[in-house]
Amino acid sequence: MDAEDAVRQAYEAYYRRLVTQVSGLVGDLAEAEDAVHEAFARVLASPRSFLHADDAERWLRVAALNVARTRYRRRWLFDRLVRSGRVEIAPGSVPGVSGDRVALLAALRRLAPPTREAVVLHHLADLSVAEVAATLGVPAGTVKARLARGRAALARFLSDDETVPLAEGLKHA
Amino acid sequence: MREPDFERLRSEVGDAVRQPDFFTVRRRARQVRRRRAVTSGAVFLATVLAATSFGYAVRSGPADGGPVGSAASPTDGWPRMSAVTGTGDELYTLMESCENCRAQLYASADDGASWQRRTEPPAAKNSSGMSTVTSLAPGVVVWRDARTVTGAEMVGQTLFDHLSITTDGGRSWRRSAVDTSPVAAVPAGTQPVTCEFLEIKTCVYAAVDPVTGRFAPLARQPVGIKVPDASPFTINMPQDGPLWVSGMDPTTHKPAVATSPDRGQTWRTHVFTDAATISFGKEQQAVAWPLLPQVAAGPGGTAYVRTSRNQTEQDTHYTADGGLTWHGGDTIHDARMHGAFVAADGRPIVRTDTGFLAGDSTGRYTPVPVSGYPETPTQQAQLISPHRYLAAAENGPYLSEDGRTWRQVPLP
Repeated sequence: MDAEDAVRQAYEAYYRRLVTQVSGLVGDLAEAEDAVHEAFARVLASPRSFLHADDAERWLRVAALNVARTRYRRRWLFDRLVRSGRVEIAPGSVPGVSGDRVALLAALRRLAPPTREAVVLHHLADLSVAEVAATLGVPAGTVKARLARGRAALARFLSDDETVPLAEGLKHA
Repeated sequence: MREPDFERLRSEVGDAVRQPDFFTVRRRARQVRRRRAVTSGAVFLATVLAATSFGYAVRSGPADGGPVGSAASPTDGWPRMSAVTGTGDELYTLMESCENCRAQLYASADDGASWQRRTEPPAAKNSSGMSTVTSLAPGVVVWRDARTVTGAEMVGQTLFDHLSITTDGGRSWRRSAVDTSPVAAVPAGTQPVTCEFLEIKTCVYAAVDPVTGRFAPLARQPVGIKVPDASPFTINMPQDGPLWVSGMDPTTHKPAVATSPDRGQTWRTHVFTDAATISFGKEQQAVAWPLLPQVAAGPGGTAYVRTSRNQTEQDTHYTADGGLTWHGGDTIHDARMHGAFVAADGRPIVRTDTGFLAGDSTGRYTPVPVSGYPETPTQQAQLISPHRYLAAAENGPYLSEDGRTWRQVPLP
């Protein structure tokens, strides 16, 4: 099997799942689709490492994480500017339906990136704490701490009558 | 305080995900290679910037950095064919003249010897620029414009893509519509579609009225079979044969094939109990596509099915009586299969990593020469009329009268 066929099969098997996970990181479906699409393009451009990976899905998840990270770094800055009133979001780009899922995506976006990654990998990607730790390169205890902090913050953010403290977006383990 | 419901988030977002054709990945990969070539002289500077800007990095995977400016020429790779489809003597192709140009529709009634320009439907609002066409009957073509959706649309579960349909070969278009009243059978001369194709969740299969261009769900859906979303090969219906759909047993997750001898009015399902269980992954979202059964349907009630033991061991099965009785064929080792079809001589042809195999009436598969088939097809061979097979590669469509000898079709 040539490299392109391998990437094509992986694209068919994992694309949707990876987009779902990355959408939890970046909080936007279209952006998640684009990030995962970019990740597959990078893999196809240099497939050698991918072909030798023991776990193709894990390898691709990390590739997508790398792409997403560059984006939510910019997005985090953008979000801070929005909250400070220095940037106005066009009405068309704000979800008009206040569904629970949009609320959860929005709440995820309020977590600090390291906390958000741990929560998404554990709860959306269904990775164990050990797998999350291996993926992020941090101790399992750190992952547990981030998960505990993330769950507590999400519960607060999802409460209808609670004001979201901006500070969560600035601290992480 | 409310608890976050990740399971529903996974489910709803997973349903909303749109997956572009693989050719778009290939196109983007070319741009990535060009970017890397242009920026290779600035690696040292980039490394220093990366080391000082990024607080942490992931392990056990690629260390590819963020995007850099594209150096791709706007004309490199264009004009190009982005899609091809056909039924009977008709071929339809979408041609893009530049990267951001809307696709243009061409039709041919003489195997591509000449092409006629046809009209396109109005562009969808927020179109992503990715369009495809699917022929369902002579003169009946569906045009799909993939749209960029907002978060509100994602949650509202509105239609994500814009579907238009023509019943006069692309001379006029209307917005596709789905009736709520079901139809008893797939109209003669038409191909059924998955309801997922229409982005409706209340049925599994639907049919098109070739006169009005309206869709309607089949009154009787296949039973005892679960058809995973977005499966790339769920329907197979030769013009003079039964309707075949592939999926899995909803309880055991074993591969299953459902057959309808009367265009969807009655169904029978067979489960391949010896095959590998089709895994879903821990979060029950993405099915392992390569483990789904693939059907190559021939004339009458003949069909050949491939099931997988694992990624490189494939079992073959065949039936000659419309799925009433099944027989086991060869197990093919150390090869991945990339599509199958039944050639004009009635033998199933399977494309593998290393070449083509042809089956015989006893289920034995042996290497067979197939000439002129594209090396890297973007679209596997399919039968579009009793004696016309269509495949495609980046450089254009390929046609064959017997499935064994192929020729490239000139582009418009």
